[in-house]
This record gives sequence, structure tokens and C-alpha cells, in this order.
Amino acid sequence: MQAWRFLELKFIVGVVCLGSIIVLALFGGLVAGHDPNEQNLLFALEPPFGPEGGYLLGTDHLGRDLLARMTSGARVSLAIAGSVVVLSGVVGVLVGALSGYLSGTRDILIQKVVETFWAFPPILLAIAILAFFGPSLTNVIIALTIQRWIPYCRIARAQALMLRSREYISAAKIMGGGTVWVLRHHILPNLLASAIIIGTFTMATAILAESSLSFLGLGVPPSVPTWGGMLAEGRSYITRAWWLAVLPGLGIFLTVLGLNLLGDWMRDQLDPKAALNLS
Amino acid sequence: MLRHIAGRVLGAVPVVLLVALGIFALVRLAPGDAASTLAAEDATEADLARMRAQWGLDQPVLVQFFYFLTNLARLDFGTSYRYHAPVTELIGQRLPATIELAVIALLIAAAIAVPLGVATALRKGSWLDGLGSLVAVLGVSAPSFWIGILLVLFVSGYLNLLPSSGRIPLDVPLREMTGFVLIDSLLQGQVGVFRQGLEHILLPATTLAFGMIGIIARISRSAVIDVGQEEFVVTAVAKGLKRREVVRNHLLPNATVPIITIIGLELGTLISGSIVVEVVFSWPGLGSLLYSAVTSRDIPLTTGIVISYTFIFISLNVLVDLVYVLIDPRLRVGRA
Repeated sequence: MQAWRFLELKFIVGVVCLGSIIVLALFGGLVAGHDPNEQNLLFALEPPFGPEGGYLLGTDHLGRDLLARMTSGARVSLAIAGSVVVLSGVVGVLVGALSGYLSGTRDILIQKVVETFWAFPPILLAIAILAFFGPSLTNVIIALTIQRWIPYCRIARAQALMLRSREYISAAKIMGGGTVWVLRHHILPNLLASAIIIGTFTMATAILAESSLSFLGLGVPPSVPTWGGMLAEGRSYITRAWWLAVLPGLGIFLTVLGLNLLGDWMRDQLDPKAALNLS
Repeated sequence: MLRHIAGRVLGAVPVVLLVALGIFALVRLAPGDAASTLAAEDATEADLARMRAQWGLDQPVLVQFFYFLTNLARLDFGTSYRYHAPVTELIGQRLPATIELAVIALLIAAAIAVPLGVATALRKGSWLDGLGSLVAVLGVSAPSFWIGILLVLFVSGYLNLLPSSGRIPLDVPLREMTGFVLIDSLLQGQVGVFRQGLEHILLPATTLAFGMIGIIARISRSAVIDVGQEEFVVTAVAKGLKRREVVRNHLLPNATVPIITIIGLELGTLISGSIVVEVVFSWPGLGSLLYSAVTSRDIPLTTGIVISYTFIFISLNVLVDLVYVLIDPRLRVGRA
């Protein structure tokens, strides 16, 4: 009973956190009424709910509307992380399923490549790629995908290895099913559930990494406001304007927390025994 | 035993080579080569060609990769554009600060997380257990640079308790011996400097530790729970030993192996995770050096730092594997 309640709590808090960010991304711009890059130095460093200028979440050091900038940050983070999740999911599941299904020498070769990508410390490879190729939206997505397909690949490979000796797979092969056909009809559908769970956690780490890169000035170009970029810019003013330090970080935190809780919840749903053991 | 160690070390060689190839490919594929980046504004095509010939950039790719590998083996990463000094020397100067930060962060994280994990495992399902998993999920969800900025705002800004940047005040005389402020100050008997060093490292190390506490606590918890289900624990309980004795003599010693492994693996993550934290706290380590190399488009320095971080990361992983064998007698017998 207690475990059940704890599970429900995870789900509710997760939905509230993530939901509030999605609402911000969709409708924040309507409420803000200012362009995210519109400067008004008369209203610089205005606190949230301040009496002047009608800035709901206050302004930054250039008098730009924080609500409008937070909205842009939410959109950028969700769009980049979403693309990374889909892209790495497709690549990882396909490569993993193929590797496990083929097995043998080809499997070993593919796994050596996987091991190489995994040998780089997290975030460092992304920093290196953006440092050498220059920051842009496409490069950020590539840089974040380059290591994130591996967890999908590992799980997909393990499951494909297990599935390939099942009787219905052998039957499909005997009836003349080619590699692509068997993968498409018998292996991939079985991998969907775990891919969705990994995807949720991957999205969480992608958002953290994207904001770190933006913080270092390696994210999307500075004309597009991001949460990480806002924190980097506002850093020199935080003792005079706490909201510049608190709000963008809160955006990142709520999104990642929501995703982690929902991922946990989904995993527990699929494996109730693990939920009760809480291990 | 020796064979196992040799096998593990040799097993890393192909990965190291592939990683070197990967970094070489990154540098090669990047738009604009070193000659066009470095050349003076008014350089002619002939000047560029001469520079390329001088650095071997006009050679076939395979030959260039060979040069790259030989330079790598000699730890020669060239000269930094920005600092006009050998990259290896610059990295050597900054590395101790990063290691010092990572070790202190790891100590803080382990000191909090291991007892928390053990306590939550022993009281599974209690409010303490719930609190533990809450701490874990909060810790992995908050971006480290945000935690750092908040700590700077409250602890340094509002409360004025601890310094928010650097390793020691610039006017403090400390002769460099090992490069580690905390060790050098003690060796020279400068207790005041040691204290200042501690004050400076506390905020960045806590920031870095924050994200790891949850992970280490979770692993410690499940390690203790796993061992608790083993038959020898059941036997110990059946023998009539007190709960405290079972925990101290049977449970905890056997749970140390997985706990030490995860702590060791976290050390690598820590070193790369410290990049952002070093930038927040102006910590003069490898991470802030990488940041300045990247922002000033210093290609040799960036390449050198990326290689160093990666090789430290790989070596730590191999080392943790070996420690794992050393402390777990079952693995030792199995492999001999």
C-alpha cells in the first residue's frame, strides 16, 4: 500500500513539474507581451512582480523580459533534448538490435565502436565537437547524440541476443524472413517499452548537458536565449538580482526532475517487483 | 592474477588507439586547418603552403596520423597559441588543482552518501528510506553550475562566510612543491594557508559532490540490500548473533566491493564534471584552462586537454577494475 502511494506521488509530482514547463513553453510568450531580446534599460534589473513596466518575472541587466526569455529557454531545451532523444533512440535501437541479432564477428566489431564512444568522459566529447566545429543548433544536437545512443544500443543488443534464440524467431527465419523483416516484425516491437524508459532518462541528461554547454557559451548562438546562457550572463549581477540566478536554474531543475520522476515511475510500472524492493 | 592484470591493461590498448583516431579525425575534419587559423592576416597562398609543409599538413592522412601518434607517445601536444608555452607544461601546471578538487569532492560525497545508503538499506521502507530516495533524485536533477551559483549567492554573497573564487588569495606566499595547495601548505608548516586553502575548496567541492551523493547513496543501498539476502547473513542471524554484529561483521565488509567500485567510477565522471564547476568558481584547474582554450580557439591546447581528460578517464576505469579484483577474493581465485 505504502509503495503504491509512493509510486503515485512520483507520477503526480513528475507530471506537475514537466507540465508546468510545457505550459511555459507553449503559452509563456502570450503572457509576457515582450520580445525576449527587446531591451529596455530604463527597467533594468526589475524584480519579479515589480510595480513598473509589467514584467511578471522581472528583467535582466539589459532590461529584457525574463518571462519571455524563460519561455524561449524552455522551447530551446525541449526541442534540442527531444531531437536528441529521437535521433539517439533510432540509431541506438537499430544498431543494437542488428548487433545482437547478427551476433558473431560483426557483433564484436560493432561493440568495439560502442566501447570507443563510451571511453570519452561524458560532456567532454560534446565540448570537443563544438569547439572544433563551432556552435550551432545542428552541431549541438549531434554533439549531444554522439554518446546518448549507447544506452539504447546496449539494452537493444542484450534483448535481441535473448530473442534470437526464441522459437518464433527461428520459425520466422525458416519461413523465409530476411534480417530486415525479422527485425522489423519480431525484434523491434519487443524493444519499444525499454526504449521509451531509456528515452525519458536520456532526455533528462540531454537537458542538463545542453544547459551546461549553453552556460559555457558552446550552445546555440547567443541571439537565442537559453537557460544555461541566461545563468552565464546573469552571473555578475546575482547579488543585486537574485532572480537572475534562481529562475533559469529552476527551469532546468523542474524539467529534469519531472523527467527523472516519470522515468522512475514508468520503470516501476513495467517491473512491479523492483518497485517494491526499491532497488 | 598477474595474467588478469596484464589482460585488462592490454585490453584497453585497442580502445586507446581508436580514441586517438577519433580525436585525430575530429581535429582533421574541423573546418579550417592550423595554417589558416594561425597565419597572419596578409598571408599569401604560398605562405600557407610553406606553413603546411613545415607542419606536415601536406602529407597523406595516414602519415599525419602516424605523426600524431608519435607525438602522443612523447606527450608532445605542441605549443599553445594563446599562452605561447608547451601544452604539456600548461596541463601539468593545472592538473593538481583539478585532482585536488575532485578528491575533496569525492570525500565529501562518500562521507555523506555511504552512511546514508547503508542507513536507508537497514531501514528499508521507512521515512528515512523515502528521504534517501528524495535526496537522490533531487541531486541528479539539479545542474551543478546552478547549485554552484546558488551557493555563491547565499554562502559568499549574503552570508559572506566563504570565498567564491580561486584556490588561495593571490597575495599568499606558497612555494610550489607538489602543486597541491593542501599538501604544500602542510609540508611547509603554514597552517594558516592550509585553512585558507580549505575555505576556498569547500564551495566548489560541495557543488561537485552534490550530484554524486544521490548516485553513491543509491548504489550503497542496493549493495547492502543484496548482501543482506545472501545465505551467510541468514546463517549469522540464525546463529543468534545480535543485529549489530551481523551488520558490522558480515554485511558491511561484503558490501564494500560494489561501493568502492562505484566510487572509483564516479572519480572519472567527477573529473569531467568539474569543467563547469571550475568555470563557476574560477578554479585554476584543467577545466577552466579548457574553457579559455575553447573560447580563444586555441586548437593545440584544446586537443591536448581533451586527450588528457580522456586518457585519465580510461586509466581510472582500468584501475578501478584492477582494484575490484584485488579486494574481492572470489574474483582472484576464479581468475588464477
